[in-house]
Amino acid sequence: MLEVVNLVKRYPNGTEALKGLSFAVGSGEIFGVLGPNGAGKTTLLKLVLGVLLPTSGFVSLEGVRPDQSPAAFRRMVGVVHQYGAFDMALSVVDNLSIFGAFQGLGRAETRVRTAYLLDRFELSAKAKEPVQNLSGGQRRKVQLARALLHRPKFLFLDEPTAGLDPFSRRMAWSIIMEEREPSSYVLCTSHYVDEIERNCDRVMIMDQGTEVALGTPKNLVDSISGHRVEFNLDRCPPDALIAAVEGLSGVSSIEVSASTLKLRVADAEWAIAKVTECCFSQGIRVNSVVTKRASLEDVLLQATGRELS
Amino acid sequence: MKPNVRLAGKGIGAIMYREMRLFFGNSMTVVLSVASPVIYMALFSTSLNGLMPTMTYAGVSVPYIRFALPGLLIMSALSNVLVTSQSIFNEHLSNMLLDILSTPVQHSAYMIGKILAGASLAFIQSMLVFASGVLIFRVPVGLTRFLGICVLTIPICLALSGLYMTALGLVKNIRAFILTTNILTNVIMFGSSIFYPTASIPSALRPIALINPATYCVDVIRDFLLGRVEPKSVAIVCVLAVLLTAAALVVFRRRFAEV
Repeated sequence: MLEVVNLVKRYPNGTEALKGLSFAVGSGEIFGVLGPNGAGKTTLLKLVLGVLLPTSGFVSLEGVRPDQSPAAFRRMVGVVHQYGAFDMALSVVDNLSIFGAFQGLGRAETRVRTAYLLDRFELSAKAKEPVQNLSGGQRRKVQLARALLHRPKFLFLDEPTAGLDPFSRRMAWSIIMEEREPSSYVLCTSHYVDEIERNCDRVMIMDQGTEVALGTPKNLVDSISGHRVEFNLDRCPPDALIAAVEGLSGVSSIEVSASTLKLRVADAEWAIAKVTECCFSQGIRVNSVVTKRASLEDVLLQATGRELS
Repeated sequence: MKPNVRLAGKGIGAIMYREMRLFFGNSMTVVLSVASPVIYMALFSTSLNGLMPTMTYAGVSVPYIRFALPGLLIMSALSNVLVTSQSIFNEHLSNMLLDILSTPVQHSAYMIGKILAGASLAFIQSMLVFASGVLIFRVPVGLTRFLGICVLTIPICLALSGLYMTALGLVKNIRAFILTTNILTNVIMFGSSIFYPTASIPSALRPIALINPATYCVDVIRDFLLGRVEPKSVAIVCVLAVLLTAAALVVFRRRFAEV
């Protein structure tokens, strides 16, 4: 089990990036961390890895603590940092073999794993190319291959698919799922909320260094009732219409964007009838209505009270 | 062997391998590192050798190029360790240091690997200077002395690497580091016996020369080249290598405890 116990991180300038965070990740679990920029996600992952030192609290992976046995801890870990680096002038294979050596792999094993992973990520043709000749997406794939090289027990992924096209994002996740052992742990942050919703067993939402929600994606989505309904009108809604809609008891939030009225409501059918009635009474035509069930993104927005950036 | 020790050894080896790949993988770096000491040597042998055909050192009159060769060797080593120590800052800024320290490679293994790689490259370059001095500029030296100087160059390069890496750990940003190392390099070169004998150093610079590791490094090679073996000087250089390497390790661990 990965245990994070009462983790506090206070920087010398007084900023408290984490304020006593505790959670546990079970064996075989994929654990997602969501939150707006500056919520403390990257700080949390760096603390878990031991490259930042906690002000108080501790992290333990199957009894091994990164502050007490850093080398033993990091042998179990594969990392994709948000802003990973490469030796740009060296080839893809050289970059991977150097990191294989850092992980303590033998040359033969590194060679076999490198060839296999480059094939899986469809990068075999680029094996001898200097990394500087690769696109941003290809570099991200090399970074993922580098993290998976030594078959880590714990995968630490900070924005692992940033910069990848939708096809490559799906491919990356399918390789991650395939490569991980049934008992391995994955701790992942991403701004692609759909990706977290689709792939993670449990999700923690963070804001300002604390946990604001924790649960399975389904439980979190179920925890906020209702729907999102978008009304596309024939013109920008006048203040009188907005006031009338705001006055409806089943509307929990309202947002206006040009000629679109976005509502969060408890009962979609009831809202469509009532809002259409209000529009009709003010001589405004409703061109179309779109209804969406609440998603993890809605949970994130509601839990943090902020917009994603 | 304990697994941790084996892993640390592998980490040091991997860091050294990476440095060598980065150095020899770039043909421009290799050409420049070979060309620059030879150019220095040519300049010294033409301009300064013309101004001062001979130099009195330890009561003996020697041709200036023979006197200057150990100094050139140290200058060449200095330029190399400077590049290696700057690379640590660059790796910190580019997040490569974070990526490396996220693997089982620990601070000490990273630093020892860097120092050994820097010292090895400085050694290779110094030997090229020395070889060009012997072959192109006809500085007389027998095989035994040549081999002795090769061996002596190892602790010298370690000491200079340790000195620059320690300086690296004491400053906070790359701009300050570049300024610090520029000043340090000038003080090391002119506040030592690289260009002139210790006895001729201006009195204002003498205290600096006394605490300047380069003074001991140059003198021990110069003595060896001129056939004088000073066990005390050799011991001082070896002690400097150990002390400065240890200082670099301590300072680096403290400076980059968090990345």
